Amino acid sequence: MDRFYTRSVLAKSLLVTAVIGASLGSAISFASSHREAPFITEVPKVDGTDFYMFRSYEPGREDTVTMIANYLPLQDAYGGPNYFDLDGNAIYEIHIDNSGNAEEDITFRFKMTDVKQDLQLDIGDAGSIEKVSVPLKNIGPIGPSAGDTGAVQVRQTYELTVIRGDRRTGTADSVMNAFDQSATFNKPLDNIGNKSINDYAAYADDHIYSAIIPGCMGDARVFVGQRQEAFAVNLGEIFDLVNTNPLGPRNAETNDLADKNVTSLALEVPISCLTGTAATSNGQKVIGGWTTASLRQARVLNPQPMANGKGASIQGGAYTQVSRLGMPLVNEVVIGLKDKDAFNSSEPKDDGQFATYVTHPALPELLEILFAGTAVAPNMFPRTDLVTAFLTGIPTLNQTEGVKGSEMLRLNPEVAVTPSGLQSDLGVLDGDNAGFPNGRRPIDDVVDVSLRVAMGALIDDQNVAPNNQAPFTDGVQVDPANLQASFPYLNTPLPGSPN
Amino acid sequence: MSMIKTLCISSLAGLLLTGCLSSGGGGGSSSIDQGGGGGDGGAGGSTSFTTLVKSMFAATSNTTEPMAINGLNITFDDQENEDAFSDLLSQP
Repeated sequence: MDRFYTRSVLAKSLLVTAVIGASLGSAISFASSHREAPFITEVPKVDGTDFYMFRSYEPGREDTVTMIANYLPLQDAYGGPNYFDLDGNAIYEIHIDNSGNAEEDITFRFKMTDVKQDLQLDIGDAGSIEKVSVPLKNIGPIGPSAGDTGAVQVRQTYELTVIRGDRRTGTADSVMNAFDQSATFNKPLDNIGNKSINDYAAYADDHIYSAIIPGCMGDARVFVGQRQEAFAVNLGEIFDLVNTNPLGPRNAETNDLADKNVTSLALEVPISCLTGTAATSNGQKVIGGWTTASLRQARVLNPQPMANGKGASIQGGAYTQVSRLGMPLVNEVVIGLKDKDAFNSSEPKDDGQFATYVTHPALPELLEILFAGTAVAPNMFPRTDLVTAFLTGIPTLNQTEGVKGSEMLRLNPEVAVTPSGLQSDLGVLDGDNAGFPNGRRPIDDVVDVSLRVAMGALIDDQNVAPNNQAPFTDGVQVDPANLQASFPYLNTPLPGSPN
Repeated sequence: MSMIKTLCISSLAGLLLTGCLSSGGGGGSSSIDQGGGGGDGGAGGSTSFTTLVKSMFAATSNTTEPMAINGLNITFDDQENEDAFSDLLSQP
């Protein structure tokens, strides 16, 4: 199953590259980006967990790129009565660098709004009826149409804005719903359970919108809503000093995220609307992508939420970034604990401040300590192989000419798609150039790939990297049965009550 | 005092924390204390947390960058004042 026939080709490319610019970023790791930094654990609604970006492999949609930004980790489906709305005071953004300068050229900004109605019941004896507000989110069935919300007390809508130039001061235009030309889209309620929402898949699908992006020719699609967690990892064992066999079978451990949901912001955009001047040495276009979430800088708790019409808190000030995610897993186990909050607030253009974490990574050394006699960290510093794989892109595949080293997910969308069902979850490492780290698809086992690359899979010289052909693994693979072959690609969320 | 406060807030809205701020006690009153941090912050003056927060609210915008606070010497003078932010909460 494990094929490494592309390794030597990659390694030779890396020897040619050896780019360590003044501005570098980060790399490699273990468990995606769930609760990875101290502060973000306090604001889970803006905790970015995974970012996918790939040339769409849904038949007929190959001329588009799909971006999926997941937020709000570790959702237990039964988490009522409030479930898992996104933060109406936050902005969620997907940034695209199409000029190779580590700065955003296009930003897609999602802004959620709570829509409330006070549902009341008439309670009491005749002549003394009291109208009493109900305590539950819904008091009757929902769906299957997106407009079937009469029994719902609180739901969310969102606006999507495309910003060209600087994310704050660039030119902003509203993305329009192609059906009714409105600028408002509906987010489905979470999968409360089968009694509340009888056919959740149909209900959720009714929230997939064709969208018009000003200045962009072609159809776009957008969906924001709960999905089944697609990332797979034995989270508990990994963070218990990697309490597993790192050279064992690839799928013999428990996926601790198998019973979790997450909230996805999914966007499908024509390739031609995303690419710019950035291109490989052979002229193929490349885009870099990452997601961020920002909150207002100041928050004041309201000691009397009911007294003045305001909620439990008010927020003000400029938007302040608190979450950042491009390449998977970076902030989880690459960035030092003391810098994790700083990384979440940083921008790729300033990644030089984190360069040492890539050129002299701690993870391989930790593995060597934890698995003495089995794992041997590469003895090559600075780790130019990691710089290339994670900060500049792979030459002729997704490294742009004149690239500024920075941490982001890089995609060459001119690489032909690999159809669903034929994709290798080891991506480029296994000869499937449509996969990670040329972008990232839901199927890609970024944990295994990152482990192997961290331990030297891209270094040809076995004297330098004794483990360069070792099949490191966390023992968990993404289950294809938990994915969809069409937009939004991630599966229908698990129901809160299955019966 | 009102004019001083307005001036301080205006200055902060421009992301130039020039060290107005610093208050004694309740009600969000403020006084000028020269030499406070601005931008990435320079050491020296003190900044009332209450006034700082109100300044941030006054600078609410979708197009500006957040205020840098690392260089500020922030004082917490309103911890016993339940009405410290009442004016913010009472705004429409």
